[in-house]
Amino acid sequence: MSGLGGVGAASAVERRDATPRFAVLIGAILTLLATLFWGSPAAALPSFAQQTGEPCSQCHVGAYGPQLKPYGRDFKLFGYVSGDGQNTAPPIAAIVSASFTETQADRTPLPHFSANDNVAVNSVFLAYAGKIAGGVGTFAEMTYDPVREKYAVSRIDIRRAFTGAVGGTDVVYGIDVSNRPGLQDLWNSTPVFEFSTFTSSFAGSPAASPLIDGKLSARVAGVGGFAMWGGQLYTEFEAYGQLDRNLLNRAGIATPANADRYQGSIPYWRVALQHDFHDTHYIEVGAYGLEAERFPGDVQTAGTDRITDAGLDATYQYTGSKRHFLATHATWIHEDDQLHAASLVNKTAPSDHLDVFRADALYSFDHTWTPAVEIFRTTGTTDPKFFRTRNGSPNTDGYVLEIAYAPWGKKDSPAVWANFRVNARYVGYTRFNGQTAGASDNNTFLVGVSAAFAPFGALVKR
Amino acid sequence: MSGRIVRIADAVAKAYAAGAVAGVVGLMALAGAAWAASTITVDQKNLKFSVKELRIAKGDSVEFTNSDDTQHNITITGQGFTANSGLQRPGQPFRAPFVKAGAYKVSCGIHPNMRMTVIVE
Repeated sequence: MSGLGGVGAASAVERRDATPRFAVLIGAILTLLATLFWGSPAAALPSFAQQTGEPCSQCHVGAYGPQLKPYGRDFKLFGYVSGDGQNTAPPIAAIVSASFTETQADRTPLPHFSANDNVAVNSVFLAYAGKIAGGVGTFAEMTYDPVREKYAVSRIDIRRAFTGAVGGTDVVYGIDVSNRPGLQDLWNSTPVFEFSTFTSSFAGSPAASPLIDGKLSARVAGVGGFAMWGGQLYTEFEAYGQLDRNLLNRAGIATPANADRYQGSIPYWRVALQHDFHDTHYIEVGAYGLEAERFPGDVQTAGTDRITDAGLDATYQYTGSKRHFLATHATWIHEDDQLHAASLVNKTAPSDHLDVFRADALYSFDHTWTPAVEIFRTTGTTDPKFFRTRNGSPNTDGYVLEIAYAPWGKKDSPAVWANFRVNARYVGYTRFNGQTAGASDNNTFLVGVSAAFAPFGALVKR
Repeated sequence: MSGRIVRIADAVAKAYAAGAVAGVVGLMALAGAAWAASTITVDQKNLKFSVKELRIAKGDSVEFTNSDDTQHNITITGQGFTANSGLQRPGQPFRAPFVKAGAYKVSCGIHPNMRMTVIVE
């Protein structure tokens, strides 16, 4: 399951009635709407809209990110620099998200918050997203977490694309620098921009996930090359290295002295095939992976663990209608953990493995209403010292139901540089960290708003 | 005397006739040149150009139409020549004459995957 930022499953301390507290809920919605209209509304990344003159719906399913439509993928492939030449203002974007969160069981409260039914501004993103100069473009983001009162450099992707031909085949190729493997990917079937980004700090999340599924986020930096051959075959290779601990701490990425350290470079690879059938059906199938040598707990006297992740992914989109859009994605990731060092240092098993499967489907009507569903399953070996769950099993199963309402982000919206979305989301678990009993304690209901805007967008005259 | 006048009149008539013929031929040549310089239409639909490659004669023009419901931004480069349509709204045509032989790259500034080539022969 994608991205429920969490405080850990073990903090579910009390089972309670799932009936929503309607008074709290209504109050929360009113508070959120007040927050929305008090602030300025906004898009996926409205600075991209500011640069291109195109509304969010041109790039994104449901007129809001992160799911990309064909043009959105092209925009990213060509390095975030496309535009109509009218933009004279810096491509700055801000996104503010607030939500009401209810979990089925109360949880250990975060400082200044309750054990349940919390209303909070979850995140504030500030991004430089668009053309830097010449053919170089970027998506670089800083995050403020008002719940934990922390700033962090979160996602950085800098690209330069070129066009050419090899043996009569058109090639779009380029170089890329990023701080997370997969951040540069064009498809929403791989972990970084998978499914919805609507999450809450007050919800739990499963303990186990593959290395490629976010554990390296903002902790590494990598450089590599990519190429799209004939608009059909995409290949990419990038090498990452861990950033200095002091630098990470200064950038807001908490990295204690006993955090895992990765030795040498971490190679990341990606291959994908795509085809568009008569501008109606779009299909992509691909594979991706990485390999890393890890010093567990930064203990460098016992050798390294070798972690190998390999994933398969697929995307289908129905693109044949102006009012109806269907997007489906699926991925399976297999992680092989050869724990030569951890078995000595932490008494883990000599090897473990983890398998993650996720699939989702979104239907967007009129670029405005977007119901979605996702199923997710994690399975693996049993190893309490490695996966750190009560019974040592990483197994988790569940589903997500979500509906999003984005009234703006279309051609007839008040401004292309501003957008907002209202979401309601339910996350259900049938198994959580190896246990079916009490798994539903972690079930979570969220309702929230996200507002995005480009502060300089109104300065651009078209 | 009258015979001489007749010869002069005949000569004048022949000169007029020759002039008329020359004039007609000239006009036809001019008209032919105008007819030869034609305009070829290339449509933009579903974020694609209707052709990947277009061969035209020197002096021909290409009219780029926009059948999408989104705006485009035609950019033409080649042979030391650059043209930009500016913001091309749906339904709005953009016409570009090609007066020099060679290959020209045509793309859309907003939609980078829209690319085609015009070859002027």
